[in-house]
Amino acid sequence: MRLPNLTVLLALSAGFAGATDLATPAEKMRSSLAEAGLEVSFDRAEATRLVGQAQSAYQTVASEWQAADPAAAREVSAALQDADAAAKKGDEIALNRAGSVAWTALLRGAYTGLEQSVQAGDAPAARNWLAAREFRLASPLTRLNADATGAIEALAAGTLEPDAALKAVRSDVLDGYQARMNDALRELESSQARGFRTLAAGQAALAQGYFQLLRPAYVAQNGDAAAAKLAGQFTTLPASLSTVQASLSGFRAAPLSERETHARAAQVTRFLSLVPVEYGRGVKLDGGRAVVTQEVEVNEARTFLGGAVSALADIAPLLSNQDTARTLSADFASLNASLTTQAMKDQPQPPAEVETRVNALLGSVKAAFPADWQKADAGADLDVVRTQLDAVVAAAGAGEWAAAETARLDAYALLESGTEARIAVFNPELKAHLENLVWNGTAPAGLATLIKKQAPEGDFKATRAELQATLKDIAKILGTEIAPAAVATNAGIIVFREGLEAVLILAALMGSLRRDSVRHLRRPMWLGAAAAFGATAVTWFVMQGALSLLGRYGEKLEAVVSLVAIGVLLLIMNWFFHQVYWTDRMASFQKHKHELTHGGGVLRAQWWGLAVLGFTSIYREGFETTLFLQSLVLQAGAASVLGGTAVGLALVIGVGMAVFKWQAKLPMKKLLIWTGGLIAAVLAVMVGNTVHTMQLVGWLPVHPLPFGLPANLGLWLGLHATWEGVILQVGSVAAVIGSFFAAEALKTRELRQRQQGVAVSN
Amino acid sequence: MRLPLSRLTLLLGLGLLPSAAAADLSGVKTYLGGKLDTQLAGTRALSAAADGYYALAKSANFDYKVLAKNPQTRTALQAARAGWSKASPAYEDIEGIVAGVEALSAFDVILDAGTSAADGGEDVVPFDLKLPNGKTLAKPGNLFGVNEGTLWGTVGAYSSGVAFDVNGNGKMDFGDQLPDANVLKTAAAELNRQSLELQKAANAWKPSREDVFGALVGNVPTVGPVFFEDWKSSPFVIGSKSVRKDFVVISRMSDLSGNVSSWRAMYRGLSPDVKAKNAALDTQIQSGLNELALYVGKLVGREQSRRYTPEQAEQLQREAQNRATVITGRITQAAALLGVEVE
Repeated sequence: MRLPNLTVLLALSAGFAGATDLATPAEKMRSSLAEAGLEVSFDRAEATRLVGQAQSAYQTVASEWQAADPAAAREVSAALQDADAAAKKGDEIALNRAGSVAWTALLRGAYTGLEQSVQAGDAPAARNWLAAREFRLASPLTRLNADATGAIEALAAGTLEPDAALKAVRSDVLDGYQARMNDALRELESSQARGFRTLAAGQAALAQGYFQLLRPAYVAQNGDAAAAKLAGQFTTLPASLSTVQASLSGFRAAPLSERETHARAAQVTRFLSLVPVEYGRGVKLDGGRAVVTQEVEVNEARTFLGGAVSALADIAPLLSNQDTARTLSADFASLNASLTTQAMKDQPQPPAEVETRVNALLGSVKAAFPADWQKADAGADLDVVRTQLDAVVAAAGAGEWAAAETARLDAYALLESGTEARIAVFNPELKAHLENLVWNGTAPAGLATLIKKQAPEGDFKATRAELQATLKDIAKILGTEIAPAAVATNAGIIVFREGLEAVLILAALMGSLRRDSVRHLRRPMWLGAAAAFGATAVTWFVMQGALSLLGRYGEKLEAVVSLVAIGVLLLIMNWFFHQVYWTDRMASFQKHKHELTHGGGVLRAQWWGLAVLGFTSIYREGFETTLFLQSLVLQAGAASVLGGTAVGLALVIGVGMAVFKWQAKLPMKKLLIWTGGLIAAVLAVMVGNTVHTMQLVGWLPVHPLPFGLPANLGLWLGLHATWEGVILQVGSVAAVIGSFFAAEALKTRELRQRQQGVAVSN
Repeated sequence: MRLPLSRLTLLLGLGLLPSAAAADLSGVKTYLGGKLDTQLAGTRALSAAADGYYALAKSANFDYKVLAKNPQTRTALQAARAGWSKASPAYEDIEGIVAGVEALSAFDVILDAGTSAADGGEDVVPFDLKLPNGKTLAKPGNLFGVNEGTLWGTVGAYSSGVAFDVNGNGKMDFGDQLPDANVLKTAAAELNRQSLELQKAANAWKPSREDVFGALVGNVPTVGPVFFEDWKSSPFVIGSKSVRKDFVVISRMSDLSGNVSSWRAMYRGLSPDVKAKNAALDTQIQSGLNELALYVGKLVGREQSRRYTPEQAEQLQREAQNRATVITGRITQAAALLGVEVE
C-alpha cells in the first residue's frame, strides 16, 4: 500500500479526530446560563461570572455561527449581553429570559449550519453541526433515536444522497425541537398555575425561540401570513397561550412517515382495547364498591392507557377535523386522570364503567381515524406482546403465578392472532422457536414450563431475553412492507397446507367406497365435512373483534379436535379394511350374517363414525386457519386474502379430485393397498402435528432427539425432533399396517373356514 | 426517511479499516467488586450490631425502657448506624450498574429502589420479612429503606416508641429512639444476605457492550424524575417542612453523586471504542459526565448552607434533566456508531 492511501485510511480509522467540537462550547454556554439563572438569587457576582463563562464559551465558536447564520449569531450575542446586564442587576426573570433566547438562537444557527452542510454533501461539517443539536427530553421510558447520525454517516459513506439525508435529518432533529417547544408551552401553563414567574419567563422565551427554528416548516404548511401571525402571538406569551396552542394544532414540523402514522394509530386502538381487560382483572366489586385487588393489573391498565395517550398525541394533529382531535385528546386525558394512583386511592371506578368509557372512546376513534389508519399493524401487537412478557417476568418474580400465566396467555393470544400468520409460512423455523419459548420448549425452557415449575426469576429472564431476540427477528419480517401478492400467497399456502390432510383422508376413503353397496357411506362423510365448514364459518364470525381473546384457546382446541380426529380415523381404518373385505369379497353372505348377529348397531356406529371423521378432519384445522386468515384480512384487506384462499382451496380440492379419480381406476386390491398407504401417511402427519401441539400446551412431555430437524419438515410432514413425536408417528403407521394385515388374516381365516365348511357339507 | 439501525450498522461495518477491538470492560467489574466489598463490610457490621442489640433487648425481656438504661445499647445502635452509613453510599456508587444490567437489576428493587406493597406501583419488592417474634412484614419495601426507617425511627411501626439519645450528645436529635429489635435484626440480616447474593451475581456477570450502553441510556435519564424528584421534597431542600420518611439520613444528591461515579466507571470501559469511531463524541460524553458530577457535587456542598424555594428546586431539577439528556443523547449516538443496539 502506498503511503498517501495509508494516511487517508488512518485518518478515517482514527475517527473524526480533526473535527471541530461545536457541541462542547454550545453546551457550556447553555449550562452556564442556566446555572446563572438560579445563582442570581443567591450570589449576583457568581451569576455574573457564570454569564461571563457562557460568553467565553460562545466566543470560541462564534465565527462558525457567524458564517452559518449571521442573524442567529447576532441574536446570541445580544442575548448574552442582556444576560450579563440582568445578572449584574440581579434581575432573575430577565436573566432566565435572556438565557432561553441565547440558547434557542444558538440552536437555530446550528440547525442552519447542519442543513447547509448536508445539502452541500459535506458530511464532516454536518457531523460537527449535528453534535450541537438538542434532543427531546430524555426519560427512563423512552429511547432517543440516532436517525440523523445514521443519515450523516450514510452520506459520508456515499450510500445516501444529500436530499435523502436531509429528509432523515429534518425528521429526527425537528421532531426533537417540536417536542421541546410543546414541553415549554405545557410547562409554561403549569408554571403559571403554580405562580412560578421566573420559570414561566424562561419557558415563554424557549417556546418562542423553538418556534423561530421551526418557522420555515410552519410557513411551508400554513403560509407566511399565518406564520407571521403566530410569531406575533408568541411575543405576548403567556397571555396568548391558548391562542398559540390553537394556531399550532395540526402542525407537525417533521411529518411522521406513513408507516409510523399507521403504527401509532394501531397502538391507540390496540393499547386502549386492553385497558378494560387489565383493569377488570385488577379491580373487583365488593358490595357494590370497586376495590383494587391486584395492583399489578391496574398498573398494566395504566401502562396501556399511557401508551395509547402518547400515540394519540403524535397523530392527533394529522386528523382532518381538529375539533374532533381535541375532543378525542380531552376524553383520553380524562380517562387517564381517573386511573392515576391518587384517583384510584380516592375512589376506583367499577370495571364496567371503565369498559363503557373505553368502548365509547374506541367508537370515537373509529369514527375519527381515516380508514387506512385502521388496518391492523402487527408492530403494535409486538409492543403489547413485549409488555405482556415483561409482566410475566414481573409476576413470576413476585411469586404471583396465576397472574404470570394470564399474562403469558395474553401474549400468546396476540401472537397467535396476528404475528404468527405472517411468519407461519415464510419462516416456520421462527414460528416454531417462538412457540417453544412461550409454551413448553426445552432450551431455554418455555414460559409455560417455567410457570408450572415456579422456576427462579433468573430462568424467566433467560427465556425473556431469548424471546426479545426472537421478537426482534419477527419485527424485521413484519417491518418489511408486504405486497398484496405476498399476502395472497400466504393465505393460499395456509389454506392448502391446513386443508391437505383433510382432503386426502376424505378423498381416499370416499374413493374407496365406490361399490353401490357401500356408496351410501360417503353421505355421512359429506355431511360431517359440510357441518365442519358451517362450524368454521361460525368460528369466523365469533372471532371477529375477539381475535386476541379467543387466540389463547387455539392450541388447546386444536389438540382436542385432533385427538378426536385421530381416534376416529383409527377406528374407521379398522372398519374400512373389514368393510371393504366383507362387502366386496364376501358380499351378501357375510353381510347378512353380520347384520343378523349384530343387528343395525354397527352400521349406525359406522355412519356416525364417518360423519365425525368428516367433521373433525376439517374442523381441526378450521379454527387455526380462520385465526390466520382473519388476521391477514385485518392487515391487508379482504381482497388479496380471499383471492389467495380461493387459489388454495382450488388446489386442495384439485388434489382431492385427482386422488379420487385415480383411485377409481385402480383395481380393488391395489386400491386397498394405496388407500391404506395414503391414509397411513396422512395419519402419521396428523399424529406428528398433534403430538407437537400437545407438547406445546404441556399435555405431553418433551424429550428432544439428539439432532435437530428443519422446521419445514414439521410444517409439511409433522416431523418434529422429539422422541414422543417420532415414536407415536411410527406407532400410528404400525397400527394402520397392523389393521390391514389383521383384515387380511381374518379374510384368509374366513375363506379357509368357508372352504372347510363347504368341504364338510359336501 | 428512517434509517434503521441495522442499516447503519451495516454501513459502519463497511469501514476501510477494522474497528477497534472489543471493549475491555473488566474495569467496570473491578469497580463494581471494590464497591461491593465496602458495602458488604457495612452490612456485615450492621447485621452483627443488630444481632447484639436484639440479644440485649431479649435479655431485657423486650422492655425497651429497661433496655434504654443498658450502657451497651448505645454502642450497639451506633455500630448499626455506622454499618448502614458505610454500606448505603457504597451501594449508591454502583446502583447505576446494578439497576441497568439485566442480570443484576432485580437486586436494585430488593436493596434500594423497590416500594412496599402498601405503596404499590410497578416495583414492589418480592420478599416478606419473617421476624423472630413470629410476625411477618409483608413486602415492606427496599432493604436499605427498611433499615434506615428502623434505625432512625422514621417509620413508626418499626420503632419501640421509647426515646433514646443514640449519639450520646445529651440532646434529643433527629431519629433518637430505640428501634424495634425484631425488625432491625431481621432487616439487617436480610440486607446482608441479599448483598452477598448480589456479590455472587456480580461475580458471574460478564459485561458486554450492550449491557453497559443499555445501563447508561436507561439510567442516566433517571437524574430528574428519580433523584431530584425525591430530593426536592426532602429536608435537604425544604428543611423542616419535609414529611419524607426515606432519604432523610443521606441526601439523594449524595446518592446521585454515587450513581454518577458508577456511570463514569461504566463509560470508561466503552470510551476507547467510542474514541476510535469519533474522538470528539468521546470527549463530549466524558465532559458531559464530568460536568454533571461537578453540578451534583456543588449541590451536595451547598446542602448545609442553602435552602431552596419550590420554584428553585424545580429549576434545579429541569437543569439536571437537561444535562442528563445531553449525555444520554450522545451515548445513544455512540452506540449507534458502534452498531450496538440498545434496548
